[in-house]
Amino acid sequence: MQRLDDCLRQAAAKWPHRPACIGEDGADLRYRSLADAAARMSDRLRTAGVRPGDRVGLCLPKSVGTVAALFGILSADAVYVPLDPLAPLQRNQYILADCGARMLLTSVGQAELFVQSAGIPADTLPTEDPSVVLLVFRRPTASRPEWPEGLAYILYTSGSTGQPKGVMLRHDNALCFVEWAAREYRLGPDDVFSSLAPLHFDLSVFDLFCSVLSGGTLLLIDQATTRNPMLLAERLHRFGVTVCYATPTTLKLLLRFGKLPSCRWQGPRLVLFAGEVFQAAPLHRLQQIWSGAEYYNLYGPTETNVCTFFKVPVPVPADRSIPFPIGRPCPYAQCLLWDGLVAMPLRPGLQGELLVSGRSVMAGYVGSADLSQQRWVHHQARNWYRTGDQVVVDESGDLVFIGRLDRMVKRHGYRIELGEVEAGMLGHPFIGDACAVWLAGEGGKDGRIVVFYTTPAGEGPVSVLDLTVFLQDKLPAYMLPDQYVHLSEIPGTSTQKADYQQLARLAEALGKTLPA
Amino acid sequence: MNPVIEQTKDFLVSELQLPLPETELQDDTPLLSSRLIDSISTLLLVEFLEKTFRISFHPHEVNNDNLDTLAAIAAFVAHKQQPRATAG
Repeated sequence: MQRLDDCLRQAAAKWPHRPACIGEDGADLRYRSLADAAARMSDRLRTAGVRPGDRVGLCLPKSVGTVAALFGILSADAVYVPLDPLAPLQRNQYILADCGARMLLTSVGQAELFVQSAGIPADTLPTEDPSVVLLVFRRPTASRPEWPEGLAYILYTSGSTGQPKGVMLRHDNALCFVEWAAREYRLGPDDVFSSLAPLHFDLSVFDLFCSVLSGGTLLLIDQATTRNPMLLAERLHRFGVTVCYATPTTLKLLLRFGKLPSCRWQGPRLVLFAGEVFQAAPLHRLQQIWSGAEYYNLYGPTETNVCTFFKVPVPVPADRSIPFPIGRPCPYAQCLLWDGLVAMPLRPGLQGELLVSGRSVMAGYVGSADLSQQRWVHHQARNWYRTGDQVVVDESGDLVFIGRLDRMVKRHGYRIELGEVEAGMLGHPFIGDACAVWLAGEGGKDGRIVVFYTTPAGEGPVSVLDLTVFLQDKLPAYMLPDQYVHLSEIPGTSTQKADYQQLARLAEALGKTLPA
Repeated sequence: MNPVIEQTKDFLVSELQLPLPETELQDDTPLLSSRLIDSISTLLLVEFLEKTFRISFHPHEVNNDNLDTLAAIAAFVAHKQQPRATAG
């Protein structure tokens, strides 16, 4: 297979009448119909003037039509750029400009907002769905002449400089993972895949393309349902999901609030999780309820796709205190350890930053050559991506995640650069300085983002409601701080930088003084 | 004072560590739609309401209409408790 959209053409030929996709609204499409809808969208885009390699934004709630549109973009040899319809307009606007999107598929309501605020003239064209329109931006062409060949999609993640950064992925970067996963997990037409992750989140790559490659059924689940574990449990059970790929946060919420035992359902046959550490105690409880499943821990930043995997034993000992390994490299990925000077092979006992090379590794970041260079190590005549993750090799040869080397944190499976939170705060007219620190959760509790800030001399603290409302227009909901602390000044180190260690201790002390 | 509001307010401030001084928290302060409490805190709130007031949420009842303000919460709890009160 050469391209991701080949998966759909093959499925339509092999399994034309099998169910391909089921929406939250109950709408469903069989493979033939899904392929036909994608082909019509592809024609629509071509008629509107899309050219190979053009970026096309996709800002729509998950639906069977959205899945068809996504495959339509790929079939037109364009690049899909998924946007979160719930994210602040300003952020989505930035993304469209950053990747030089030529077109945008979005809802009628959002289209007006985009046109009003974009500052770029756009033509609004209808699509076959009356609630969806195609915006064609009249940008000056070839503003960025250097684009990699063969791109399939661009995923934006949190950026440390205060703006999201675009990870450019080629068809082949995803295909090697998707084809491997389909073989490794014996995925087939009888499988029902839960599509839990939003399309702008890289877990969705597995759901979308593994289900279509294997002729299975993709059960779409929107964010409102994902956040309501009781509804989610009911939906997974009702449609007999067999393959569930989720963050540990989603699975833990399902376990704690989903009233799972009352479902009397043995669960999926395959549970894959990624994005953060899954502690042994809740995993043990989940295995008791979803007793028929195999469990795998998958690892890989958006930049590399999934690149290592680990089969979790069943049952796991509930009292295990060390996290499970992230395992061994997938066959298409090569891994080394980097100590800052030397690249070392994976040998038991060795520790370092994980380097990844191979077919699954991204083509680069959008428009930031400098940033791209910092992220690579050149070794043995090839480029190795620096993950920023510190790992150690255990005695059985598995990789174990230790921690981050920078200021990126994971909350509920989402990547958050604390620098982006600070940049958001600094946009507020009454904020002088802002420093965000991460307070790791203890004893299974969630970690917290605490922001320390100053106001110009003589000004008191800003109302929390005011700050929250202000940041909502800057940051996606998952990045909003948990606590704001007003200080007269930010403590500095001897080199005039903010003393984050002192702030972290202060945050910890403040946490302890709160009533239990 | 409404005891449901009082106990819930106490829970929001002390357990969920709502980033809001108690003086800023009014009966009509939007909690969910303002994103003052996130989706996970919302679930903890539901769990608290179920245990404390011996009610049970149906999946579709976990929504802004029933949970966005202290006043809405009090009304919902009263509504859920009603049939039992008449039956008893």
